[in-house]
Amino acid sequence: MLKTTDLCAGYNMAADILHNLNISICEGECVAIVGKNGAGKSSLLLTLVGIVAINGGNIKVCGLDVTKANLPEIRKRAGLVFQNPDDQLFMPTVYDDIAFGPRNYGCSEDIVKSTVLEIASQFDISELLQRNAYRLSGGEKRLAALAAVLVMQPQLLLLDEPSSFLDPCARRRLIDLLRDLPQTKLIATHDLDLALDLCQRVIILNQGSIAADGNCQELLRDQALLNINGLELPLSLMNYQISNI
Amino acid sequence: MRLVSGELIKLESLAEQDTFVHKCHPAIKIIVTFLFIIISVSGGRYQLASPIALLAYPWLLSTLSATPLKILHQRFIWALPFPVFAGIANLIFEQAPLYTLGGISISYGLVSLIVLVLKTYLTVIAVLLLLATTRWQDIFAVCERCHIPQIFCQTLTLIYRYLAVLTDEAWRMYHSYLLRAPRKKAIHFKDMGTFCGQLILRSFDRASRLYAAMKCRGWNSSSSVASKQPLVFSDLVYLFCSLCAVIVLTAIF
Repeated sequence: MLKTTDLCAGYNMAADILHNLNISICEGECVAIVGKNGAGKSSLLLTLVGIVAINGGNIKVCGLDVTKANLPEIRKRAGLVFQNPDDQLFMPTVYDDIAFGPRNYGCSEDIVKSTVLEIASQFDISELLQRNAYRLSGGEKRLAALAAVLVMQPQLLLLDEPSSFLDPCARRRLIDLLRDLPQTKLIATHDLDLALDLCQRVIILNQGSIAADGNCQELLRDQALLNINGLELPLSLMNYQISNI
Repeated sequence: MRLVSGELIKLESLAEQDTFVHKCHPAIKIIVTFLFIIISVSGGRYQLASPIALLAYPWLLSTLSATPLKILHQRFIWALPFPVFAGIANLIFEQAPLYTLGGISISYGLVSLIVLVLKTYLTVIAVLLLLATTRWQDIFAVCERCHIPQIFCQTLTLIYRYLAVLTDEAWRMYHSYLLRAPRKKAIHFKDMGTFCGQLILRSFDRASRLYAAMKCRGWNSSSSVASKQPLVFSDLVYLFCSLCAVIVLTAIF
C-alpha cells in the first residue's frame, strides 16, 4: 500500500527534514507515527501526497510512484486530513466542502449529492450540511473534515493529529469512528493513548529519521526509548503503573 | 476585521436559501441585475420619478427571495458617503428652484443630489441582492462560461476566499495584542509595522495550507466547483417578467 525507499524530503533542496526513511505499510494496517514537535510527522504526510518536495529516494503510494504526473490519482487514492480543520474547510457550507473533492474529480451532481448525503449520515452530521464551517464546534469541524476526505473513498487515510481540538467525548467518538473504517491508516499524533487504542504498529520519528518501528504495545511501554525521543509514557499506561505500585 | 468576514459569511448564508429567486439560473440573475443597473443610472440628473419608481424592484425581489432589506441597508451605509460627497457641491452651484412644495422651493442642486443618492442606492442594492441570492462560485462559473479568462475567475474565487482567511488571522492577532496590552484601545502606531508584517506572513502561511488542502482534494487551476445548472423555462419567465416590470416602471414615471 505504501513504501518509501531512502526517502529524503524538505521544503527546499538545501535542508532535508526527512532523512533516508524506509517505511513499508501493508493494506489494512493502522500505523501511528509519533515523535516530538518538529520530528517530521506532518512533513512525512505532506510528502506522501506530493506537497513537500522529494529530494531523494522514492515513494510508492497505492502502487504509484509519487511523481507530478501521478499526483491527481495519488491524491484520490490517499486522503489527507489536516491537523487544523480550519485549513481544510473553506467552502460556504459543509455540503459544498464535502462535495468539493467529488466535483473536482468530475462526478455528476446526482452522484455528488447521493455520496455526500450518505457520508453525512454515516458520520451523523446530516443536520450540519447547510451550516457554515466557520460556525461549527471543534468536534463538528473535525468530523466534517474527515467526511470531506472519506467521500472520495481513499484506499489510504493519512491523519495529522486527528485528536487535536477535541474534547474527551468527541475524541472517543472519533476513535470509534476511525476503528470502524476499513482503509489503511497512517496517523501522525502526539496522542499516544489514541495510538495505543487504534494502531497495531508505531513508528517513532526523531529529527526526521526513524528511531524505532514495531509493535505499538511494546514500543509505547518502553519508557527509556520514549524519553530518548522526547516522548512520555501514554497516560493509560502511567495509570496502570501507578495502580500496580 | 471580524466584521468583514462576518459580513461575507452572512451574505453567503443568505445565498444558500431555497426560494424561487435563489433557484433561478445565475446567468439570468446576472443579466437582470446588469440591465437593472443600466436602466437605473441612465435617467436624467433631475429626473426624480424614475429612480423612485425603480425602488419597487429591490423591495419586490427582497420579498420574493426572503432577503431582509435591513441587512442590505446596513451595507449600503458604507457606500452612502460617496454620492453625498459627489453631489453636495450641487447644492451650492445649482440653487435655482426646480419645484415648489408648500411654499418651499426645491433647488436643482438638491434634486440632483437626491437622484445621485437614489441611483447609488439602486445600484448597490441590486448588486447586494445578486450576492444574497446567488452563490459566489456560481457567479464566477457564469463568468467562466462567458469566456472571461479562467485565470481571472479562479484568481477572483481565491481572493474572495482568501479575504475571510486574512480577516480571521487579523482578528486573532488583534485580540491577542489587546489582551496583552490592556491600556491600549487599538494597535499602537509603533507596533503597526510588525503587526502588518506578521499578518502577511501568517496569512500567507495559512493560505498555503488551505491551498494544499484544496490540491489534496483534486483541485487544479482548471477546476470549477460550481454546479452546472441547466437553463429551464421558469428562468426565462423570470427574465421576461423582471425586464417587463423594470421597463414598465421606467416608462410610466
